[in-house]
Amino acid sequence: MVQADSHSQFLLRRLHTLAGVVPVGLFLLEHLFTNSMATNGAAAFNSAAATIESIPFLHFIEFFFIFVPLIYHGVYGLYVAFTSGYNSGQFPWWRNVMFILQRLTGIITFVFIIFHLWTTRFSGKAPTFEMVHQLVSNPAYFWFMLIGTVAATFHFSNGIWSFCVHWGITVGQRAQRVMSYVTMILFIVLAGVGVDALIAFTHTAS
Amino acid sequence: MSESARGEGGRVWTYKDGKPWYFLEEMYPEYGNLVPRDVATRAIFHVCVDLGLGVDGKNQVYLDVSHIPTEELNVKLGAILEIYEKFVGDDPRKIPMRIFPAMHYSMGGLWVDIDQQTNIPGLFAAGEVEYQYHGANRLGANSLLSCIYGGMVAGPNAVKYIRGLRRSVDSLPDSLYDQHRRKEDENFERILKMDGSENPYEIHRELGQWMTDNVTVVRYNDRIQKTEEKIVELMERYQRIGVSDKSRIENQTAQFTRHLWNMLQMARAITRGAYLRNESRGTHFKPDFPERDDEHFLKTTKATWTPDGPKIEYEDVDVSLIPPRTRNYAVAKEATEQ
Amino acid sequence: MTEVATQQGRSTTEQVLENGQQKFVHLRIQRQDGPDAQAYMQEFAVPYTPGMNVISCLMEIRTNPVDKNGRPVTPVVWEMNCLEEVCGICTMVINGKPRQACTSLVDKLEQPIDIKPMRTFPVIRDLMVDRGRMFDALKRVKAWIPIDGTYNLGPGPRMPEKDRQWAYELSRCFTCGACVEACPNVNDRTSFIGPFALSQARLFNEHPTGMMNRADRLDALMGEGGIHECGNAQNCVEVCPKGIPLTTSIAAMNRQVTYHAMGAWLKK
Repeated sequence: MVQADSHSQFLLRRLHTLAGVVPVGLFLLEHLFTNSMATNGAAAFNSAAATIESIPFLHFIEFFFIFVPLIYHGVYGLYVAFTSGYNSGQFPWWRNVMFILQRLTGIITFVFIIFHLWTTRFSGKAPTFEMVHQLVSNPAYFWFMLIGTVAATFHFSNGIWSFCVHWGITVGQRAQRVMSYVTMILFIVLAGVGVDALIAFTHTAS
Repeated sequence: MSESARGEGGRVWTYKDGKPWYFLEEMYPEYGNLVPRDVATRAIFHVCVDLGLGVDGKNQVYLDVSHIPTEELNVKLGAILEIYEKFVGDDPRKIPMRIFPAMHYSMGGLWVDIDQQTNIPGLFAAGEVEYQYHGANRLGANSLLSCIYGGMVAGPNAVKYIRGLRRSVDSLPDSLYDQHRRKEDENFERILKMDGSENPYEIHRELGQWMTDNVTVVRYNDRIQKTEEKIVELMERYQRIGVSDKSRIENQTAQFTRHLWNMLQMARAITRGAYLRNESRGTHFKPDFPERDDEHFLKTTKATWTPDGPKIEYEDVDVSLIPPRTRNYAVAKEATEQ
Repeated sequence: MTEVATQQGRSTTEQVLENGQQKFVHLRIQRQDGPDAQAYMQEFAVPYTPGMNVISCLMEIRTNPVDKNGRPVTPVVWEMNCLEEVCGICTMVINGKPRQACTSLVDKLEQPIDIKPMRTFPVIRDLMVDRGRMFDALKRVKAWIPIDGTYNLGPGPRMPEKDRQWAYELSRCFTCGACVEACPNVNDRTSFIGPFALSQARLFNEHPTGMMNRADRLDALMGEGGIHECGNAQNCVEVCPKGIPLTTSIAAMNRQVTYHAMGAWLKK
């Protein structure tokens, strides 16, 4: 009976948490770092973007190490969010609220990323400071980006907390508590970096 | 609160002349707070009821474990102390618990033979459901002993019994089973139709009250007799029960009504047995007969159901291996051995 | 094994008067006449006595089955057994939280006391539910130590006292269902077995003899409805009446399962 159990659900779930942290999470960090170059002016950002452009096999890396894990994490994540129950009305405890925020920010991030890719990566335009500046000059777009950035960084930071539990890294209650402080500080830092870069893009290139 | 609190070093006391009085330690210097539960129960009863020295004038005394280090308490008694705290709101690690003896257990049970078989062939009983272990008093851990030993004996004997049968379930006619099933069905239908004015739970409450007041710690023949009369009265009132729930889904009222009849029968057997035993032995304590009477009552009471009430018989207790001696907890064990 | 009663909650007949008036406890109870019937609310007012708990309120109702307005009703159906929070059968949702009716003291509850069955489980009638899925889950994770056989296996290895102490905490689980009720991931869309089962697997994996069947339990936890369905909402640890560190158990089992899965894969 037990032997006949399929482990596929288990593997899919574990791959989901792993994909969220290792390829996708690392990419997010890199992306935030590159964007923050904008705070040093258009030239700094453009040069950083050009450096990335010059990576050999860029399309290959992009496809296998970013798009595939990202799509998997996103689509499977929607399924997870759909199968979860939501009962913070009855049980309004901190971790339960975080549980819901994690799913909510996941959905926001999913929508955000599609739109974000559509208007940047797949817009056919070169990834320059000027292009981004054009986009964020629209206040609606700016606020959309802001919400997306905050949601994505929250989802990533809190996701690290979940990852540590899912993989049995933080076991005890104290370890989990300390980790939630660490990940929330990480969230504030990352959200700050992201928003700071966003604001930098609103300044004209000169 | 569990008796294990005394076992782990809990001290029982109340106030006397404004000072803590560790009456068990004073009355039974050799055993102190570790006297058997019937002895402790009677002492608490005496202190509260006869002397009127219960804490705050109520029927309660202190059970104190606060002198035991908290860490030790948490390891050994954590679970039960937590429950006390949940119910009462005081932390027993710091404040003495307020306690009074309560019914927990019935020492008797189904009669079984040496193979754990009841007087119904093929029906085996093991554990505290049968009568063998407790006698006049229940000793700690005998519950475990009875289920382990009884189970070890009953299991193989049940198999042996089945192997020795010439006819089994399949070879008996279906009509036999149908007939009994129909009888139970009819009984249940009858209960569902009961529409008198009595409430089964009220009868149950009265039964419990009478039994607790008169057939527990201290027993007087006149009161026991009145209790049996009361039980007979309750049995009459039982016939006038109204079952308010007519549902066929989980009808607890009907089920309870069915059980209540058995409870009344059982209570009557206990009461009759207590009435006839004119001595004091273990938990069975009659102030009018304060001594143990081995000559007449070193016997097991056996009650058999008859339509006219329980029939009481006696069976000798096997004392061939351990000769009985005086039960005296005021002096050391050696002093009671001759 | 209660042998000595605490003074509170003993008196059943003593009446409590407030300004010369009988004081009442107000209850709102969700009723349901059968597994497929519609649920409905009914209000009750029962005479107050000191030390009352929710069970004694329900007992009052069955002794005098009338609603708040004195109209006759069928007695409320519920289950009870030990009355000292060790059997788990009287678990119900009281003022929004799953807990045992026996340790729900009226004096500590806001009134009207709102009582509902645990809807995560199939409701049989009124407050009575079928917790069978929990026992199925325990079977799935082999929450026992197989030692039965045809000959004496001997005493088995000993357990260090230090481990026994924390394992004892896990052994206090009484399958009450509070954690299953509070878990957002136990619902119609998942087959999650529930937090308690993960903790019980940990308990028996820790036992020196139980350890011999460790791999079976870990395989079960990786199976359908297993440990991966946990979303770390951690409501379980908040509602557990015994304060069992369920979330620690889950994380510890996550670790065991991770090693087990990787080991199994690398060894193939």
